[in-house]
Amino acid sequence: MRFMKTRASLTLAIALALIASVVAPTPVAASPNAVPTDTVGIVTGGGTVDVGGVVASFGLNAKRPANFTGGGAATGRINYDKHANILGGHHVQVPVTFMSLVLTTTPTPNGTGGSAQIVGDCQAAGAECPSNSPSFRSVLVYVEDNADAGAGADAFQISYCLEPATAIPVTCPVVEGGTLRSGNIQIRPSSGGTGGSAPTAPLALRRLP
Amino acid sequence: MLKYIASAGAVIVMVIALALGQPAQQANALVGPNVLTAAGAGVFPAGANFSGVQLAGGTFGVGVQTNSDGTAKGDLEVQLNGTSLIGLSQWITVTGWITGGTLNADGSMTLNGTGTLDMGDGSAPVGGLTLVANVTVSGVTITIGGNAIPTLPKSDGWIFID
Repeated sequence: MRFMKTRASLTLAIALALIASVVAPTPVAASPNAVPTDTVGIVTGGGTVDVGGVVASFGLNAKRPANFTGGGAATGRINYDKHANILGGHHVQVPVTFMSLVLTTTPTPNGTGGSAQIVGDCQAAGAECPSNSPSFRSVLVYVEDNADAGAGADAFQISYCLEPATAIPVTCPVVEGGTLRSGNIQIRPSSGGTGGSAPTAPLALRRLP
Repeated sequence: MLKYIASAGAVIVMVIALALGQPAQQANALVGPNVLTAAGAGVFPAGANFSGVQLAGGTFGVGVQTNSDGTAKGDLEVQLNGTSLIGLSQWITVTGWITGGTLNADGSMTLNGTGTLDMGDGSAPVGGLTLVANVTVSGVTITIGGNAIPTLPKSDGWIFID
């Protein structure tokens, strides 16, 4: 009788655990639009992503301006070159105006990690963005720093948007990029301190056909 | 006596030479906060070669922020394509973890750090190599592990030093 009671309790516990595992909400990544605009930090990156079978190179810098007190202002630059072939393809060359940034609570061994949304101004003097009708007025770059050796773990995504570059744009009909095929993204609290120890990059992917 | 005078003279000449040489080196480096951003591609001139690979072209992506003390943070990635000694297509990838950088008087930027060299021949990438890169608005020159790669001219894209 005692054995049966124990077995029933065990069965009930397992059943409850199973139900809880089904009912419990799966943790979801925070919405990119929810990242704070007051966090101080810097973002650097260089590498390539696969854009529908074409390799695209990017170079990226973003940081807070001097005397920053909040509100999302940022400086820096976004360069992006989609290599339809070695020469040609389309370019992005814009200054950074706005950034929202989340620093990870579990940094990599080199003290970096997090995610950021970086806005570049297509309407600035000398800026270049893909042509469109109506014109793209801003680009939104979303980056993730998930590992010291960035390829295959970090992410770079670029969107072309219709709103001006004064806040995080929401109408962005074209999105490109994803996980890095080569290179690295670093997101860190400040530009000071040591650089840490350099990771060995993973085996690089070959050129796409 | 003459021996002492000669020795003293040699020391004085050495001190003067060092004193004259020092300011010239410092004048070449303009240390300050700068931002280097680049993404693009280029075509090598005929005859460019690295470790037996005939280089045809390459792509680059760079994001580096330097500080006034000569330190820097950032990333450099260059991928070069070419033909191996036996005629096979080969892709060489250099990934750099940048920890130092200075703006030079001629407007170029010198970056220092540690890099990984992936020869693209099936062998494992080699990390922990000393990396020096000189970036101008017209191209990228890299020395990794003491081996100089021919300058990759910028034929497409952007190189910005702010």
